[in-house]
Amino acid sequence: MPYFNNIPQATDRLSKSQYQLLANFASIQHYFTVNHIDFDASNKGKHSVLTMPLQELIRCY
Amino acid sequence: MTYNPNIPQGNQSGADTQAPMLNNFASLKTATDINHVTFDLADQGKHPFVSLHIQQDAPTTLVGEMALSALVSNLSGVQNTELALRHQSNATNNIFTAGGTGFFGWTRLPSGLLIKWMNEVVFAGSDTGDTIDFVAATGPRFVEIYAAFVSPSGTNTGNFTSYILNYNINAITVWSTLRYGADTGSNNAGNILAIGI
Repeated sequence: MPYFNNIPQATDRLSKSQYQLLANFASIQHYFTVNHIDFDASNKGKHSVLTMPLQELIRCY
Repeated sequence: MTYNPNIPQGNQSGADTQAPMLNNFASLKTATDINHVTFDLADQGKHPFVSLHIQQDAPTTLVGEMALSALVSNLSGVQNTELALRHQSNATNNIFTAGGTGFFGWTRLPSGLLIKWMNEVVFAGSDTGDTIDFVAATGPRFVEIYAAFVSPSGTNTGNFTSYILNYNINAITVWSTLRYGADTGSNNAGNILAIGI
């Protein structure tokens, strides 16, 4: 599900924003559980692992 | 209340979903505030520190990433929680906070290099080869040995000679001799520094 970062608008009715809100709550949990312990677990918020994607290449010594 | 990723449903009214949405936002903030600078602060999203919960297995790493994790290990002689670093593509998971800090000790660097030392290790005899335990995954890359006068009688002027005969995955074989004038045997000891992987 995509993440909608600009909803709901003041003019939106719930019938329009329902799917977007649903998608956002699902996306938030999916995002958060990467490297983190899930919201309702006893160690919620802590890190299961710290995965670091490659940043700039540093030349060797 | 638990976080509910399945709201709002299409048949729910605002009155139905207000409470669970409120709960979701509260749960999100509660969990995010752990290990992270909270919303709306200058450093929001950054980590004041990182708590790594113990894992049972080494993490999987893809190409172009590396992972830091906490594992239970008895490498230090007692069961302890240690940090491990794994390079990309499921490379060796190096536990790098375990070690031995005694006179016979060791440490492993995140790169995988193993450094071991033995202080005043007593060799079996004079003019002979002696095998020193050195357990490493692949074996020593560098070994240095020098004299350690443990308990000489008289002045420390003995002529200590030693060199490495051989080393492999599990052991370093040292030839050594120590001479105090006519004494050709006793108190034969050395210090060893070895670097391996």
